[in-house]
Amino acid sequence: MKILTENVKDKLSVLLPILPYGVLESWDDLNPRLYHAIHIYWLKFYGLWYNNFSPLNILFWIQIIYTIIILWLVCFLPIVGEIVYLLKPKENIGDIAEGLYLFLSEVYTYFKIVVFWLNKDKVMNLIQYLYCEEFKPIEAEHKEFIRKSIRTARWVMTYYTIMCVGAVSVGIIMPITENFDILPTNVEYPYFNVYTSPAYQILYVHHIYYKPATCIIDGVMDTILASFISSTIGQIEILAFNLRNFDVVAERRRKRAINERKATGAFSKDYHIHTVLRDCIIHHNSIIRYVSMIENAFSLASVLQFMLSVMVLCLVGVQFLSIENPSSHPMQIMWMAIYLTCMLFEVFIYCWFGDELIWKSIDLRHAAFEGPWLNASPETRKYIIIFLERCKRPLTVTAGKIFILSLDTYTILINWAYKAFAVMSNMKK
Amino acid sequence: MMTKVKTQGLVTDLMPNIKLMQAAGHFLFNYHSDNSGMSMLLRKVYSSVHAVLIVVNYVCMAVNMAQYSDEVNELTANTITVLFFAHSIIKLLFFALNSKSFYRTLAVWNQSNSHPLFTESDARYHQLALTKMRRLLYCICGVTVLAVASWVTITFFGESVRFIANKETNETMTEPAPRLPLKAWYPFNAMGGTMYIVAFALQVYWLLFSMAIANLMDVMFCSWLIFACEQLQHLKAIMKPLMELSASLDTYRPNTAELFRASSTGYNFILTEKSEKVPEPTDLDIRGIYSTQQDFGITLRGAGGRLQTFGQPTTNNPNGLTQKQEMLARSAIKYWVERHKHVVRLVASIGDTYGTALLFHMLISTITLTLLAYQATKIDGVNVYAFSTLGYLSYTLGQVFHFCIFGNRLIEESSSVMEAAYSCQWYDGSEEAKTFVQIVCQQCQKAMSISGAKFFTVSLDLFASVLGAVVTYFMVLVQLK
Repeated sequence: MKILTENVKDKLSVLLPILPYGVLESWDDLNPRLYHAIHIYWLKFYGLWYNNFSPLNILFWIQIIYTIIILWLVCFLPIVGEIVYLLKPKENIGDIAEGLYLFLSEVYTYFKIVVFWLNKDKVMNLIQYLYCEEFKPIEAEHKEFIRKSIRTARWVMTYYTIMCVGAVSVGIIMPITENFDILPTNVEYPYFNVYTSPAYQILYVHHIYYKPATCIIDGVMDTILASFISSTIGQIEILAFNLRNFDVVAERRRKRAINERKATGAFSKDYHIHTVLRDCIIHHNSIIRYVSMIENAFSLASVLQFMLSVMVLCLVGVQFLSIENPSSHPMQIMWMAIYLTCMLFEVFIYCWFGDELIWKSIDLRHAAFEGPWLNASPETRKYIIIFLERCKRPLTVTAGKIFILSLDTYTILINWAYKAFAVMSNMKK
Repeated sequence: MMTKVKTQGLVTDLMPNIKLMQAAGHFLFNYHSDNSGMSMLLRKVYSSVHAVLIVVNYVCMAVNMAQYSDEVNELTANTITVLFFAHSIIKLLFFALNSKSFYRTLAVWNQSNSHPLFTESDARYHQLALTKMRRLLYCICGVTVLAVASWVTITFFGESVRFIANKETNETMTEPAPRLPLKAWYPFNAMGGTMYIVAFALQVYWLLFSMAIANLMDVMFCSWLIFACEQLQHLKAIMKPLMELSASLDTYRPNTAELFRASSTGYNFILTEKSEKVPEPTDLDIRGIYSTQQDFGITLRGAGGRLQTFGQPTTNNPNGLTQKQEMLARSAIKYWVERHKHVVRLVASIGDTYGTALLFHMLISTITLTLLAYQATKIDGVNVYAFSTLGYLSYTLGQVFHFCIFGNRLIEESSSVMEAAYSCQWYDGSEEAKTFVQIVCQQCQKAMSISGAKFFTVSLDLFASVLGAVVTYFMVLVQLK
């Protein structure tokens, strides 16, 4: 089995330049690049990654032109069409809700991209920070934790995007079941009728291109925060391991120092325990700084994501209720249900990872207490005391300092979406 | 001759605010340069006249509300106006009854400790606090004037009527009312002529002064909070040099000369400076505030013959610090702890002084906002009614937001002291520094907060819950319509 995979990998190695980093390459060096490789790949595919060339280079201009073409196709044209559709007079609130929820979600994806560009320095700093000394894995157990967190980050991105693209394909198939009466997204353009023959086909093909593109971009923007938090969780697990087994780690360090014939090999066991704990504190400080950097970079995007999701959820709910003949439009029902699930999932990702971070940082307290501090010297125990004091306060990521990303916030948001939905459906009657 | 009044501490920083409060008619009689009996009497008369005018007009408004309480819409509108200005009456009365504790809070920062190595940082954050306080004062004054101007302007739009319920047919009719900013009962006929102009002028004066009374007191509260926050910022900023100073006592550190840079100019200056103590009858605790001169004197004697007797630096310090520098390093931690205790005393005093006023404010604002939510459901277009309802709503929410945001900042600053203590490089410091960090971390776990007489904590959570409540009432009332 392993030989087969090696063979397959050799044959596919010709595809290396066009696949994301880490799909075919080995993960043995645990390069921090692996966390974000898929995200950056897709952003580069749509020309939305940062332009790092200098203006004198021809590649700079090529990338700008490519970005503008893609944005025109994927962002401006559909949004203009949706605005024109919404501005046409409508009979009841159900019709407005119908156009509005898609419009809001799509506008919001591009808003997230703009915020991402504005925060270029912060995001680049974040990516660079992962290469710092304190975050490098040393023991074999450390490497296992990092591997697990890389797997989580890539898994979330891949499966969330597949789910969203699958949802969107239902929307694309919808016109086929409705006898080509409608477009996947309701758009109108001012100078021509979209339902006449050449315009309809062209627009259908355009929609088949742009809807998965918007979906993938949205997926990348949502899961990039999750991948940063996943890398933090990996580091916290390393720290917890070090604290639970600091005597074992100190012993390994001493042996390594003796093997490499360093001067520290001759020092006592106590000295090595002291250095291990000192390095734990420095590691903890780096993790705290990293979490505050994550919060700075993604705060604005998260807070708007929350407020928007509440609105979109209640609009989807209203739209769900306003489908006239449920049995004759099964595709519509399915599309609404899938879209609702995707929206719920989008906010859930933010909240779940934030919550994981909080629980893992609470676990640090237990880790410090479970370590072999009874046999340590009083100076060493002082480190543990001050560490325990700091760990009383968990590490949290907040959205604009108003919401804490956690499952409690998720419950509150769903609650508010339901209240708004109840009021709006009453007003409809 | 008018001698310039000698003020110190918070009073100097807040002097413009205090002067404005005295002009608006608050019963604030301290902090004048000229304390002779005649001018004191004049000031008391001035404040009393303002108080009487304000209360009388308020009573007239209440009478008007009682007179026309048959029609629901009219009653609601009048109730909202009466509640809106209840803030001013309550704040005026509160200050008059509680002026002692206000003076006490203003005097808390009269004697503060200092350390030659940290005077520069202290001055910088003090200046920052001053700038922010001034900016807040100008902003709130501007908002008050704008609010009065827009109120007076909107009086001239729309119909000047009041709603009466016709008892026979149960319909609402309109009856012409004087075109005045506020609906009030006057013993004279204010429909036209000179009496109309008199009533109008009285009401404009009344609007301006009552809004100023309420807002200026809130500004004073928020300025205190700004000051406390900047002091906490100062303490966080000096944590790192403090750790390095403490580390330099035990372990070899390169570049220790830079740490003591400020001392060559500051140290001798401190030793020869005479601390001025102006006797204040309302000083909170004179014993707890020490002067640096005395403190250094004790340390000198306490250090023993090891350092002092032979007049040569026989220190066993790995960095070759002189005995002067060693003393500065040891007293740095003491300065930090004493300053932090001083800030805690200030915040406690602020909470004791203003907590009850906040409680009354929130109680009245809750009722006002509920009624405003009901009024908002009746908005049917872009007209005078919509503008005035939205105006009331945003002003009331703005007042609550004003003190919530500063209360929240205090909570954040005080809880981040613990994080600042942990993130400085204490692990390389002396045992003394580690114990200091341990105690600071334990003490600063709980953030300092201002509570409304122990009923609620002033923070953005409070504002969010108020906003959430308004939205909920609005949603429910809209459905009931």
